[in-house]
Order: sequence, then structure tokens, then C-alpha cells
Amino acid sequence: MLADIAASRLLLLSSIIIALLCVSASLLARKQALNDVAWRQLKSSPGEHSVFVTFWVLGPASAIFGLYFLLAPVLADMFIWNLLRERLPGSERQLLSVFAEIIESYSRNKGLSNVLESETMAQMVELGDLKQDIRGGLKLLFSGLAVLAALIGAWIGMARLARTEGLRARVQSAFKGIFAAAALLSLVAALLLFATFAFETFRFFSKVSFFNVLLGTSWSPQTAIASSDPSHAFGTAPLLWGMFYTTFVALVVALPLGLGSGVYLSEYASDRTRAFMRPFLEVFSGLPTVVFGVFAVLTAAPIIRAIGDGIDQILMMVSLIDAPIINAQTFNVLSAGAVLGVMTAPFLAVMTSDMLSAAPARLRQGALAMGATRTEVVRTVIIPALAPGLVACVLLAISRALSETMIILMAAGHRAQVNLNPFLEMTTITVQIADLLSGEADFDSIISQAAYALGAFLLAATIVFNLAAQKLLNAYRRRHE
Amino acid sequence: MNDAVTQNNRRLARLKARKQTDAISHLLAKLCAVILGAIAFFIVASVVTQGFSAFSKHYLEIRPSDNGQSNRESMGAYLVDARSDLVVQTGLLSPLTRAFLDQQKDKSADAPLRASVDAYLKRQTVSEIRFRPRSDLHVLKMEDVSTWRLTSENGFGHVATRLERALEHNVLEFDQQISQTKERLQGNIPPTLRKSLAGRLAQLKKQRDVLEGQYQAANNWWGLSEETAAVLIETQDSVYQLKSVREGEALAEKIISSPKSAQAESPVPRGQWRIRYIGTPQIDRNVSTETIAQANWLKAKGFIRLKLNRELFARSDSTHAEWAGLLSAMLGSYLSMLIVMFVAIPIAMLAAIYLEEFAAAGRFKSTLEWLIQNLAATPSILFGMLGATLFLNIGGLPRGSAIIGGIVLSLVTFPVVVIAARSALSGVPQKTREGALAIGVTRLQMVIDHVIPSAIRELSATAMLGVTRAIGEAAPLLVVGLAVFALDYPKTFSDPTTALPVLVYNWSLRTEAGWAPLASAAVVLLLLILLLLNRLAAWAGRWMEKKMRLGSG
Repeated sequence: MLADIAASRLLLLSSIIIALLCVSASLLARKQALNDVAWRQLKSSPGEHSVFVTFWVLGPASAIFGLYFLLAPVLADMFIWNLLRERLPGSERQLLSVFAEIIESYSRNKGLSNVLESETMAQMVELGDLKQDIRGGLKLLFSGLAVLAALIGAWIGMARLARTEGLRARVQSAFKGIFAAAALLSLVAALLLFATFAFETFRFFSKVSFFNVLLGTSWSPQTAIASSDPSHAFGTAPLLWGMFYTTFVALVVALPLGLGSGVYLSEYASDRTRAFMRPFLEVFSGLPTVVFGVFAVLTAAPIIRAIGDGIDQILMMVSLIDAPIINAQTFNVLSAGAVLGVMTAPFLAVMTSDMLSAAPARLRQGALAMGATRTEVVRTVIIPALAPGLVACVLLAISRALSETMIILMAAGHRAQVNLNPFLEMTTITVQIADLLSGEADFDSIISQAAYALGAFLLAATIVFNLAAQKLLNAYRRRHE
Repeated sequence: MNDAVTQNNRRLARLKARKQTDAISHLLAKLCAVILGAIAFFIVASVVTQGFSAFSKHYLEIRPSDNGQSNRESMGAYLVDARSDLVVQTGLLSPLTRAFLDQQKDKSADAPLRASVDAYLKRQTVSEIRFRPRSDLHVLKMEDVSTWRLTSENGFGHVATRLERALEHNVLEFDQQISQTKERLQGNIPPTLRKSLAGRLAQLKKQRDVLEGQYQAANNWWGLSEETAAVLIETQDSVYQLKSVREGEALAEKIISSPKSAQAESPVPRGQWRIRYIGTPQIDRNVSTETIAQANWLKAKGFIRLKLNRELFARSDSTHAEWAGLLSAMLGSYLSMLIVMFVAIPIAMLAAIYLEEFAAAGRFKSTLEWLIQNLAATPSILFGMLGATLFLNIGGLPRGSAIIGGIVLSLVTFPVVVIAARSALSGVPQKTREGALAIGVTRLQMVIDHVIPSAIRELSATAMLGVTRAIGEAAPLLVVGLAVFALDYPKTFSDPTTALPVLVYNWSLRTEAGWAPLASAAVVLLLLILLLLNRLAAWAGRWMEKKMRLGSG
């Protein structure tokens, strides 16, 4: 009977009961407020009355539901483990956990694989049934508790409604608490992020020497599992070089295009052009990056490879070289970097044009009044005055290019090598993270820890760039206030 | 006096130079903007045009005919030999499709052609020319059972010219390479290189001789093989593949013949037959000449039709491009978007309200602001890793499921939405707040009744921004295992699935025919969804604004 409960939708039922309770209690509270003889002297609105009661109903009940979701699986598991230890004394922990898994899958009605002898199997079935019973019992217990808590909460809330002074302030602070909790989530997320990366990186560097990783030139994580000394498999130089090189190519494309378009947009363009072009650039820079990735791998990479081969052939034809020197590859840094640049350029353009048009009007007006042309205004007044801000824009663009994954993953290839030739495939930190973790990753293996160490580096790098950009922006703001 | 004039002239010249500089700078800046716009347009246009070709596909139509038989037999009857069932024999259909047809028995069914054949029929892969010669065709069966002799007064001259031109071009290329290699051999080069160059020279010469061998100068015959262009002669009832050809006559193999014309159909009047010259050699394409002949034949007879690609929306991933679809990815994206929409975005809005309306200025607030700013700039793949540790390793959620995808995307979206929602709220004029507070409402009432209604359009756009950001993210999903090969669509939040951008990534890296247009088609769908969501958000914003105005008025 308990097993039937485990499979039933008891939780849904009890939540519906609680919801009904909540609605009726809040309506009742509202009515009570409106029926109050001294309603003109009411210190809080009827709505606040009902919200007050709602909090009392929902608060304890949801706390109990939360406890159920946290505790129930743990409790059921603990019970089964104890039984297993009792029945199979002296067994290894691994064997027990296999049994526990079999029981778990049986109790979830996923059937049994007949790998064990019938006697053990019968025990497993028995334990599985027991586990289902336990689960049902816990479900019954907790949903009963939740309904009870809601009832008690409703009663207390209704009772306090009349007595509580400053109901309004309480409702206020309760709401404020909810809002603050939402904001605090960002703190929690950030702490978890830092803690995770710090912990995993620490685990990684306890196995591998820091200097080998930083200065090593060979990146071959797959060999690390087999070898006893994994220290030399994780030289990050090729990854850092790949990251630097793609970002460099991206900047070569993005800086002229982005800054030029930004200047055009804010200084030269007519209002009509601006009204059309700005949203266009915003939409374009907000496109999903796989769109750019598909373009890079399906269109740009073949074109660039053909260009590389063409250069080789021409050079060979005029006998400047004996053998092809470029040897363009299907995946290459140039296509990935160029497309990355094209993705970054509109972002840079929008930021630059915002920055330039927010320049203090007196600068522009003063220069124009002195008879300067528009170009002279931009070149000799606006740009020098805004230099820190513009540098900040560029830093943010670099940070964006550094953190981009998909374009590089799709178009730049996976082979770790250090080479000046942009027609070859290279790999970057983000690509390696995706490669190392996208298989069936085992979280305790050195490979996944290496990925987390790379991630920690990436995190640090982007934070440094952002901090620098923020510092520059603050400096600029202070100068012009 | 003279001095003043020269000075004035100098001033004028400088003014002119300054104006010129201004014009040039203007032009340069404009050029940057135009180039950027052009590249943007080119990127979107190239992806979209490539994608649209995958929305339709060629199907072999299997229909029961009047006499109760399926038209499979009638199709098969067109083939020479004893090959009765075309569907089983040819390169038109993949094994998967054949299995599908066997399941269907003789019911009416549309069988998708092999992706390579489909790409050929869409004229994406093979270069070919068709023309109708202006003379009759005489067909004669030779003693050798499989060979046919075709004669036509001036029918094959054009083919011979084309073959000659192609040969000349190829031989010329080889000659160039040979002479280059020879020259290099004469120079002063290290012995190892000399050895490899000599080997290369021998190989080049051999290849050139083979190439030239197809032309037997004595009697002007051109030989055709897998390494040369292929030529098909198509008449009303049969198709011949040329083996060798010269001005006026050709030797051919009959590869398709209709049951009606077991005997030689001769002569074929002009205009009733045509030549299909396939310039790409068979070794360089992924469809055989025979398959090309069959595909064209069946298409001409109306058995093959171009139709809407139904599999694209009705099926999930597959090993064969013609059976692959987006269903699993769309549902996976939809389920994880539900989580983002109902968890991340509301919480982020609450956080933004707190920071903008309630939090007192101080260290706590500025710390939170700083953190959120840095979280928003954190590479999204790192959130994927955070989710992998917390929810896969510690939390034990199923790998590759929509729920872990949704959670990870929520982490990515949260800070972005907080920042955007804050800027939406800060756009509300201060006097709105002060006015409300002055008539004695509480801060909460001020926010709910005054600030949010006046910013509702921006807030709706903000929610949309969050969804846009989340739906296009692929990197964090790769890390939590959404890249799985999802053959089936997800029925619950915990079934393994994939997402649209992840599928785009996977498909774009498959090199067989047909995958590239499919990846682009998925991108097109993604862009359409974004457009739709954008419009929806704008509409919802306007609607809510109107509704709230009415309520407060």
C-alpha cells in the first residue's frame, strides 16, 4: 500500500490542498479587514492583510516540502545501506554500491537485469520493495506534515491579523527579504563559482607541478591517464599561444571595423542612418555565436584554405619557393579569428559610439566654435579626452573575444601547436575545456581537473580585463565630472 | 601688399587641405561602417540561403498502382538485367530507407533519397551540362551483348570538343608541374629532396600518360572512364552511358531501358534525345554515374519529387542526413527555456528590483553590483562547468537532460537579466517615485503600482533579452552533456536530449553530404524563433502597458 503511494501524485494533491487553503485564508483575511468596524482606522490595506496570511500559510509548508526534497532520497538510501551492511557483512563497499544501484533502479520500476544469482536477486527484489515502501511512507509523512503546517500557519496568521501592530511594515520587510534573497543568489553563485574553480585547481596542482604546466610546450592530456607522471602532458604554451593568436587576428579585424564604424555612427552619420544602423548593429552583435560558427566552418574556412593554397601555387609558379610553405588546413586560425573579429566589431562599434556621443557637449561645441572641422574635433579633442574610455571599450572587446568558445571550437581546430602560420589549426583554452569535458567525464580524473584549472585561468583573465576596463571607465568619469 | 596675398593664398590652401582631410576621414569611417554592414549581411545571407535549401528534399514516391501492385515494380522494370526491385538495388536509397520501405510493405510511402543524391538533384555538388543535338540518333546493338553503337551525324562533335578541352587543360597542368619539377631537379638541392622530387616526377609523368591514353590519335576515339567526365545519352525510353566517343559515333552501355523497348529503338528523331555531360569525374563525386542516370530518369518519369522536408520537424538526430531532424533539439531547447523563463528571469527581476529600489547605498550593495557585473562577463562555458560540478557530480542530476541544461542556462542568463532590468528600472523618472511616496504609499506599493508599470515595456524586452541569450548558448551545454546523440525526443525534463545550437555545432562538423545545409537550416530556425520571440515580447510589453494604464486610471 505504501508502495502505491510512492508512485502516486500525492505531492501534487497536497500542494493543491495547500493552495486552496492559502486562497481561502487570504480571502478570509481580506474580508475580515473590510468588515472591521473601525475600517477607516485600518493601518494596513486589505491586500496587505491577505498577503500577511498567505506568508503564514505558504512559509512553513514550503519549508517542509524543501526538507522533503533534500532529505527523502538521503534517508531512503541510508536505510537501505544499513540493511545491506547487516545482511552482507564483510562485503566491499563497491559491491554494496552496485547492489544499492540495482535496488534503486528496481524501486523506480525500471526492471531488473538478470545478472545475479536468483538468491541474491530475490534479496534485491525484497529490498527494492522495501525501499519503495520507505519512499511512500516518507512521502505520506511529509505531505501530511506540510498540510498540517499550512493549517497551523493559517490559524496563527488569522489569529495574529487582529493583534499585530504594524502589519504593513511586516509585509514590507517580508517582501524586501524576498527581493534581497534573490539578489543574494548572485553572491551565492559567485562564491560557488570561485570555490569550485579554486578547489578543483588546487586538486590539479597537487598532482602536477605548476611550472611544468605554465612552461611546458606539449599539450597531450590523453597521455596523462596512462603515464605515472602526468606532469609533462599539460604544457599550456600551445593553448595560450592559440588563444593569443586568434584574439590577435580578431582584433586586427575588429579594431578598424569597430572603431571606424563607431566613430562614423556618432560623428558623421545622419540621424536617419544612425536610427537604422544602431539597432542593426545591436541585433547583429546579439546573434547566437553558433550562427557565426556555422559561417566560419562552412563558408569562411574553405575560402581561406583556398586562398592559402592559391598563394602557395603562385609562389611556386614564380619559383620563389620549392615546396608549399603555407600548407593551409581545413580548420585554421585565420578563419576563426576573422569571424571572431566580425562578431566583436559591432559590439565594439556600439560601445564606442555610445562613449563618443556621451562626451561632454562643451568639448565638441568649443572646438567647433574655434573653427575646427569635424575630423579635427574628433581627432584632437574628443578622442584624447575620451582615451581611457575608448581603451576600456577595447579591453571589454578583448575580454569578449577571449571568452568566446563556439566560433573557435568550430573553426580553429583541436590540434595543439605553436606556429606563426595563421593557415594552420590551433587550439585554445576554451576549446580544450569543451573537448575535455564533453565526453563522459569522470570528475575525479586528472583530465577534468585540468579542464577546471584552465577554466580558473580563463576566469582570472576575464576578471582582470573587466577590472581594468572598469578602472579606466571610473577614471574617465571622475575626470569629466 | 604682395606678402599679404601670398599669406592669404597659403591660408586658403591650408583650409582646402583641412577640408580634404575631413572629407577623407568621413569617407574612411563610412567605409568601415559599410564594410561591417556588408559582412554582416553576407554572413546572414549565406547561412540563410544555404539553410533554405534543406527545407525541401527529394522523395521517391512509392504509390499503389491501379492493378493493386506498388509502383516499385514498374520502377524496377525500367532497369536492364534481372534487377527487379530498383529500391533494393541502387545507390538512390540508404539501407535505413530500405528498411523503412520494407516496413511499409506496399503501402503508399515517400522515401527520402540519399543525401548525396538529393544534393546532386539540387545542383549543389556536380557540374553538368545538358544539350539536345540537332540530328537523329541511330542505335545499333553490337555482337558483344552489353555494348551499343550509337551514331548521329553531328551529335557527338560537341562532346568530343568538350573532352578535348578538359584533357588539354589537365595535360597542360601536368606538363607545367612536370617542367617545374625538372627545373627544380636541375638546381642545387639537398639529396633527400632530390630523391622525393624524382619520385614525384615519375608519378606525374605516369598520371599524364594515363590521362593522355584516353585519346587514341589513330582513329580519333575518346575513351571515357571514372577519371574523366561522364556522358549520358537520354532518349524517351532508355539511357546509355558512353564508353568511347568520336565525331559522329559512340560506343555505349545501356544502363536503363523501359520494358516497352526491349528492342532497339532506332532511329530517335532529333529533339527527342539529349546528352548529359557530367564534368565532375566519378572519383571526385559521391554519386555514381549510374545513380545519376537513375535519379534523373525517375525524376523525369515523376517518381521523384521535391517536397517539404518533413523529417526536419518530425524526427531527431540520425546517422543519415536524409533522416535527421530537429525535433529533439527543439524540444530540448523548449524545455530548458521553460526553466530559464520561469526560474532565472523572475528571480533576476526581483534581484534587480532590490538593487534598484530597496538596497541602501553602501558596501553590501556595491559588492553585489561588482559581482553581478563580473558574473555577466564570465565566459559562459565556466557556468557550464560550475553546473557540471554542482548538479551532475554532487547533485546527481541526469547528464544531458533538459533540467541540467535549463539550470546551466539560468546561471548564464541571471546576471545579464539583472543588469538589463536595472537599467530598465533606472529609466523611470525619479519624479514618479517621489510623487508616489509623497502621497503616502509604501515603497512596495510604489514599486508595484508605479515603477514597474512605467517600465513594463523595457522589462518585457529585458526578459526577451534573457531568453535570446539563453537559447543561443551552446558552450555550457556541451560541458553538461547535451551534445548526446539524441535519437529520440525528450518526454520529461530528465531524458537525455540536445539543444538547437548544440545540434548546429554537431551537424556542421559532419563532413558527409547533406549535413552542412541541415546545420544552416537549424540556424535559420533559430533565427526565426528569435525573431518571433522578439515580436512577441514587443507585443506583450505594449499589451501589459495598456492594461496597467487602464487599471491605474
